[in-house]
Amino acid sequence: MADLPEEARKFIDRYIDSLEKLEVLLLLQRSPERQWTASAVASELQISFGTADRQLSKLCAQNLLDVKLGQDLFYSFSPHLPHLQEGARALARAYAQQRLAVLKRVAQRPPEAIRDFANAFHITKKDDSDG
Amino acid sequence: MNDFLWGAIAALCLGIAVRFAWFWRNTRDRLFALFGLAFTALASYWILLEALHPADEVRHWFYLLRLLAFVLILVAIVDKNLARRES
Amino acid sequence: MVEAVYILGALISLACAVLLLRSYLRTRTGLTLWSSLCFIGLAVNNIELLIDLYIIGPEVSLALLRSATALASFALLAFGLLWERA
Repeated sequence: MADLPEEARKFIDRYIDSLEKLEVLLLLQRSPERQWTASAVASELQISFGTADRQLSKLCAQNLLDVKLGQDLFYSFSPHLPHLQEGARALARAYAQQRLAVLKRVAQRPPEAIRDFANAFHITKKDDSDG
Repeated sequence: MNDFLWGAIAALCLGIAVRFAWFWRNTRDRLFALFGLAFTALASYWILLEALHPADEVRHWFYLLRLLAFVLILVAIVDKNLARRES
Repeated sequence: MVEAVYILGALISLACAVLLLRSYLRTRTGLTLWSSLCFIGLAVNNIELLIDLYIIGPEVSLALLRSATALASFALLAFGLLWERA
C-alpha cells in the first residue's frame, strides 16, 4: 500500500483521533454550505446522537467548524486558518484515492480514553489538538 | 485477612502496571511508562510486605517504595507539562 | 520526617485526582473518572496511615481499613482500565 501524502498524514495525526471524527468531518466538508445539527449528522451517519454531538463539538474546538446558536446548535465546515483548509483538503483527497490507508492510519491512533487520561495532566488548559 | 488483601492489592497493581506499559508501547507517551513504573513500585511494596512481614520499626524503609511511586507520578506530570511548553 | 512521605503521597494523589476529575468534567471519558476516584482513595489511604501511626494509640489499628481502602482504590482503576475499549 502506497504511503499517504505527508500533508494528509500530518493532518490525521494532529486532528483526527477516531473514525467517527473522520466521518463527521468529511460529511460536513462535502456540503460546506449546509448547516448541520447533531441529530442530522447522527441520522446521516447512523451513529448515536451523543457521539455526533461530541465529535462536532471537538471539531469546533479544533477550529475546523463554525457553530451558530439557533433553536439548536448548527455546525458548518469552516476551517479558520489556511493550514487547516489545506490539511482538510489533503485529507479529503487522500480519502478519495487511498481510502484504506486513511482508515488504517486513523484506526491505529490510540483510543480516546487513553489520550484523555494523558491529557488530563496538562495543568494549563490549551487547545488539545492532538486529541 | 490482611495477607489476602495485600496479595490482592499487589496483583491489581501489577495488572495496572502492565496495562500502562501496554499504553506506553502504543502511544510512546513517557507518562504511561512512568505510571507503569510507579505502579510496579507500589506492587513491590505490598509484595515485600507480604513476603517479609517487617517489624514496625523497620517498616518505614519499605515506605520508600511508596515514596518512589509518588515521585515517579510527580515526575510524569512535570515532564508532561515541560514537554508541552517546548512544543 | 517519615510523615512527610505520607503527606507528600496524599498531596500528589490529590493533585492527580483533581486533574483527572477536571478532565472528566470536560471530556466525560470514563477512565478519567475511575482513575480520579482511585487517586482520591490513595490520598485517603495515606491519611489513614498518618492517623494510624501518629494520632491514634497502638490499641486501635487501622490496618484492615487501610488495606481495604487501598484495594478498593486500585480495583476502581483496574476496572476503568479494563472497561475502556482499548
